[in-house]
Amino acid sequence: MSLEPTSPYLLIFRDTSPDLYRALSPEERVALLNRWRAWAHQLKDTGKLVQGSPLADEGRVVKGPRGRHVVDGPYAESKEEIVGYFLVNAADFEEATAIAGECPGLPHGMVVEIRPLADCCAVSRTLEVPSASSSQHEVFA
Amino acid sequence: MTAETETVSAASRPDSAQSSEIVEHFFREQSRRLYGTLTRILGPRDLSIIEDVVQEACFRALRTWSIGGIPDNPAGWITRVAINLARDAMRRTQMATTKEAALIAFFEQQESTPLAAAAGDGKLPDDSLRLLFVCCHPSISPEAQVMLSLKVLCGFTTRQIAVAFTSSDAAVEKQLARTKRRIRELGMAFDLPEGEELALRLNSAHIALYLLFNEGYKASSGERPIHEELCREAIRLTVLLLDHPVGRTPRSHALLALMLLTAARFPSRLSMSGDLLRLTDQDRTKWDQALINRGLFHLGQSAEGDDFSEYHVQAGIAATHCIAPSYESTDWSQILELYDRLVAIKPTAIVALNRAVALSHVKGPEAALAALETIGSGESLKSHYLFHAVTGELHSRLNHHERAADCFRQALNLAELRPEQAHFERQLERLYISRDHREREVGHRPAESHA
Repeated sequence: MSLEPTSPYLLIFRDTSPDLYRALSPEERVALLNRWRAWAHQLKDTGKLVQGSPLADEGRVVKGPRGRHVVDGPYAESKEEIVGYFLVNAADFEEATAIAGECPGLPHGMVVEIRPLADCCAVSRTLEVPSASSSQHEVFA
Repeated sequence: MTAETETVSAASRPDSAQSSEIVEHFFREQSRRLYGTLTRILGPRDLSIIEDVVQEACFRALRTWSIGGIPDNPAGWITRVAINLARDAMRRTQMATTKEAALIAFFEQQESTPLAAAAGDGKLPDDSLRLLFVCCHPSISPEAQVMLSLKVLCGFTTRQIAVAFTSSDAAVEKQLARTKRRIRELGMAFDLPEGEELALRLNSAHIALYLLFNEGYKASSGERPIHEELCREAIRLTVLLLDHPVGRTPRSHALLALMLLTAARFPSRLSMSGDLLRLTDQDRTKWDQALINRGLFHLGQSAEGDDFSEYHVQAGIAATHCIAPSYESTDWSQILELYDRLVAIKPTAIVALNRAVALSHVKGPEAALAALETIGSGESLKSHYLFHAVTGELHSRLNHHERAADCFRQALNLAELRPEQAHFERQLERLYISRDHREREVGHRPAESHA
């Protein structure tokens, strides 16, 4: 589909200061949602956004050599809670960085971490998870 | 497939863009609705908990929908989150288990009914009216009533209330906390009052709504959109009152008529450059005829029965202005008559001041100045810029230029809002121009006689 070869990058969204969000007026909230929406649509229409999702508030952490240590709640070690992710196709790190730089959450204290998916992943081959070779996927079909 | 991926695909499919569009007032409407529903289930004792739940539910919606897109039924989504949060809060605070049962029952009903229907469970007007009566309880001070109403009934943030009241966030927060504590102490029920109690509570609600409207009307500077919003909310809540048999009284009609007939003239209040325009200078073609018609309709409805409140009189005055094709052709004797009645109901200095303006059009500026002499003896009025503005205007009409200028200078000193100050600066400028002109004429005449 895309003419240039692209690689998958994971954009990890972290909230550093939920209070900034909480202080938004109802109208500002709608405006922010609309900015996200426009951003996601534009990424989707240009074939860059492969998949993405917010994360639910609950979670569990499994630890210990035999997985016996199970803790409720999201992994609380970090102050910067992961709230969701986008999987994007980008030509290179620079393009992925440029995409992340347009995240509408940034002015509200959101932090976006960019992680390229390492290639030669056996798991993605067996599960047909999008990798460098396959761009668009049926998630949005 | 998990709920999250469903959400993502829904938001990202262009064809569903239409269905998941949310409107500007979405969060405000949701928070109003949730306040009503939760207060019905949990009672007004725990408004603080309810507020936290409503806030948190809206916040989670924002956070999740940002990344995931807006779900097909956003209202149902928020309700589900809010009910869960409320249940958690109940468990944490170990509140009466009956309430938890009620929550679970509501929750299950939500789950079993199609989500679209669940979003509005048909009790909204009733809930809102009950909430209005809680917020406007006579045991709460009128200003506190208005602040709580803005929060609970209008979905305003603390910040927005602070802007509206030119106060600080902290001060508003403190006042709201005090009010909620008061409601708790009073052990208020979430019910519709009856009999004598109803008249008392309605009266209190009318005062709060009038104050809310006035708060928006009087401030013409600063964050204008907020202030027009206050007037809109006052109108919305008064309509709500009239929608319910309990609140549908001639006095409620009169109050709504007053608001509509005043709001109808908003579009012409400011000039292109944002200056305040006097009634005489306003472009009457800009008046909102639809609002005037609605106002006149409710004024008609208000005449049923023998109640003749201050709202009736004020609505009558506003209507007389609205139906006059020009300032000059205004029925001033009708307005004066109405002000005479208003003075009898509400003998305040401001009412007397307004009456003097009407008097000046019926009996001339001298009569009005004489009337102002008597009411102006009270110090309180002399510290109000309007007193000097009106006196200055009357002197100006009598060509007492120096005295008029003195008055406008005092008005200028006392006015706090920029558009008002600008107005008096212009008045002074006009006076100076006409004085210069006069002096030139005076300067010419002796020369001519010498010739």
